[in-house]
Amino acid sequence: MKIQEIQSLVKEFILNEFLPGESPEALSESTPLVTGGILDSLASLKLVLFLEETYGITFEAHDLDAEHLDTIAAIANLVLKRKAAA
Amino acid sequence: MTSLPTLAADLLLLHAPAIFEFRNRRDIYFPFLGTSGDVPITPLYEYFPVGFKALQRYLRDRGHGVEIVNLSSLFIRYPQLDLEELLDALDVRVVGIDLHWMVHVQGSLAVAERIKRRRPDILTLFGGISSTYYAKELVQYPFIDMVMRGYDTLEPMHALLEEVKRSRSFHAIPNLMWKDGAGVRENDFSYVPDTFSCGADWSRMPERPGSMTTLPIVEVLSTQNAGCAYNCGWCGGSREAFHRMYPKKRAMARKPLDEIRFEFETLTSLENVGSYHFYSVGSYNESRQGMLHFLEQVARTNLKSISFEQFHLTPDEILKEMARANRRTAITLSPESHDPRVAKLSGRGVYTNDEMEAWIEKALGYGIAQVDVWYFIGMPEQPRSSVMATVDYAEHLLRRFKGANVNPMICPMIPFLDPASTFFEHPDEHGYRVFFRTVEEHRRGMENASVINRTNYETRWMSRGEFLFVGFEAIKRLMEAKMALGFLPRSFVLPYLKKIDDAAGFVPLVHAADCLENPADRAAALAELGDEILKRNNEILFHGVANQAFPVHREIGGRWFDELGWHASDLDRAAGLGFPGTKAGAPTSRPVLSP
Repeated sequence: MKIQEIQSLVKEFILNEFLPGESPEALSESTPLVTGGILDSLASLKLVLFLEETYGITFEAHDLDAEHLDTIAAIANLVLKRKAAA
Repeated sequence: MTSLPTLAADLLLLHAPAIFEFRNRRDIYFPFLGTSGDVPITPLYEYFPVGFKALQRYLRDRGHGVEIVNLSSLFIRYPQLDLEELLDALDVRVVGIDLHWMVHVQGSLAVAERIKRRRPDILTLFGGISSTYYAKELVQYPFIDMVMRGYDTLEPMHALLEEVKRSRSFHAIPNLMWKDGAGVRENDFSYVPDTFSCGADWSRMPERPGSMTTLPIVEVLSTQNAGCAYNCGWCGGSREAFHRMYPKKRAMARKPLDEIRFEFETLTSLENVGSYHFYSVGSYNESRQGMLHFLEQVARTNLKSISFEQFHLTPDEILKEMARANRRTAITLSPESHDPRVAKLSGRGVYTNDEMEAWIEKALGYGIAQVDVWYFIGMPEQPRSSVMATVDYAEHLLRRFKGANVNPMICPMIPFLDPASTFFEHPDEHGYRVFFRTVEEHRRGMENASVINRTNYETRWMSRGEFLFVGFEAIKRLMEAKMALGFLPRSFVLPYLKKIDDAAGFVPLVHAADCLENPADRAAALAELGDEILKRNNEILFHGVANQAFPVHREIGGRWFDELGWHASDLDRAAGLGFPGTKAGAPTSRPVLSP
């Protein structure tokens, strides 16, 4: 699985779920999601459910902090790490 | 000696932790889910009554210096600091300590005692619902100078501070109970206004520690009235409880509309208002007109989301307005039990399950984003089997509304049944047994090692030994159902279940030790468990919170009630953080106390 594929899927999910109507260009791999107010508690819950179901992974408790969820790039890296550990 | 700068004020409002000396405690166990409710707080109950914020604004507007220090939050963040260091840095005339919820009884009394010992020049004043109920007993403690009674004490507090600054003659201050050389003085309890309080000023929020890495808790709340139109037998804020405590015919006082508007205006001034969740406490007591005015304010404020507590199933017109006012409106229902008889006996039972389900469907259709449904453990005629049947019903709700945000939750009522509540006042009639009746009994009760022995009541249908375990079992089953049905991620639920399992396994050990009759045997048994108790307490008290509604670990700090009084950089310096040599062994702001 390539990191770009994960990034693209995560981006699509975030745009559809949390930024409806937003132009895809407005959301880059480095856009701050948590500190930028896009990903709050409820949104992170939905995102983690999506990642678990899509990639068949479970995260460690310390994975789900603002740092690991703050950008699409960080989320994709985390998914890859958990896939590798599974 | 203290390295803290002076904190000067006419009045310091101080919120104590539930247990004062909770740090390095090896003889009291604070288990996960050891307190009721779903507020993101630790078992220290670091929430202070929102009335502190109203008092601060009202009194500041009248020229008084008022500061708030949440000792609970401060000691969680700075376990290296001592109360004495803080007291030495105070230049204040009066310290007002809240005893609003009885869970703080041990902490509030211990803090008052230490203040009087260290700083006899400072007047100690108690206030809040429980202080009002227990005023006569509280004022007998040698370290409490005064108790201010009332659901709204703005004017009496203004008068008190004026007198403190001038003649110190307290005879004419309404609602005050106080002491002088002649003994206890009980002034008339005559200030019982028809309106309630003033709007809190939300324009300045506590600083969020820069070291925090978890998702923030960004929430404010408001309560629009004192008293209640309803009469739930377990509730210390119910209609009958209000009548028991206050010499007022009408069991309700509402916040004026312009004060509600003020609160929203101050919220609007926040740069990041769009990231705030607003919790509207007791909004079921609003009149139709009052609710429409409130919703008007909500619509003007760009809040992220809002929750409304509702007693009845909200009528269509208001539902539509609620949905229109904010795109993420949540409604909190609390039928308490799926069983209509238990629900009725606990003061609810004003709709059937079928009616509720039809209403939820309609509410979601109108654009309500979320419905939370709360169930309670510890109600009349509610044995374990009834609780488990409630969980079955909650699972049915999850299935029926799969894919929607319908979130059933359940919790035990621990540790206390509220004083002044009908079940507390008339336990036999309602199948209750109350273990602690006085302040002193509650205080001693809170010093028990076992949370079971800290609980002040049991019912004919469940012993106090059962509430916690039935609660663990019920919450665990419900969380597993949410995970299985895709309502909550595995990554959130599995660590949460692990914490429940650990607490469920460890509570019996602590309880057995705590129940040993011979004091030496008890002390020895607890000493043997001491390291394990401390390890768990450190995890629960210092490493963040996870609540049922959002069961993921979040660090503490920056919540609306995390007022520390001093600037974080001053506290960092006093605690020796980042300044090697000032306090050895405290290199970071993340407290990790080794067993």
